[in-house]
Amino acid sequence: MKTISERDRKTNQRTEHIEEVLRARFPNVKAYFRPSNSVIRVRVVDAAFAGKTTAERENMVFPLLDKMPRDILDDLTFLLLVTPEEQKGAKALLDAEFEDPSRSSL
Amino acid sequence: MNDRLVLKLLRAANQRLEAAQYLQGKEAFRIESIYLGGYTVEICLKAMILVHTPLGGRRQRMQEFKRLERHDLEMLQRSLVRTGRFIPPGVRRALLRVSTVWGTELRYEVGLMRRQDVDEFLDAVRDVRDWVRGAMR
Repeated sequence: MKTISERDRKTNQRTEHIEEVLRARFPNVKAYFRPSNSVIRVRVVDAAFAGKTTAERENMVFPLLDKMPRDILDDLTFLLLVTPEEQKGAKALLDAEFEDPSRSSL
Repeated sequence: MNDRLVLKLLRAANQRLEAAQYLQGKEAFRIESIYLGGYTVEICLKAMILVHTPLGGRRQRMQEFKRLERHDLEMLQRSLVRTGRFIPPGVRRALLRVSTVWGTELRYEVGLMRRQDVDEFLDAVRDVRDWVRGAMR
């Protein structure tokens, strides 16, 4: 039986499209749709983010995201850009939030 | 039309941001700076949603925030999009940065944060606040 957080992480054509577009540059991408609040969350894990600030990381990813239709971008509300080390250390809490969504007010 | 309720929200957002900026320079209170900065964005999003709510229904919508979106920035963004309001790409990016990092769970966090992370977070908060303030003029 699926847990609540598992039921709140669905994939659909739009999340698959995001993954497909981002994988052109970043192999480790995961995207899901949260039915409880109708938003899309994305996580990109890449060693190339090491030593870069959040804004610099965004600048690496946004040229790809900007190619997506506006309705997908409208739903995108969570974009976690981490290195493999940060996933286990400094950004572990944000990674946990991605893996186990807790912020829905429903 | 901006009624007193909306203008009060904008003043509250400004006040939270001023406090966040004051704490930004205090090494021991960077988490608190981000915590208050996130509330700035929450209030700004609610103000923008109210602007797109008929004047007579705004007080009721304020009550609904407590039941529906509460402090959920992701849901507030969705609610704002549903009003049909265009969100410029730069503001969209700023919202994405803030809603990824911020949550009310921050109140349980302890320790230090990197100055760069706080600076970039508050840059995004200011981008959102400036957009909302501009839209109210």
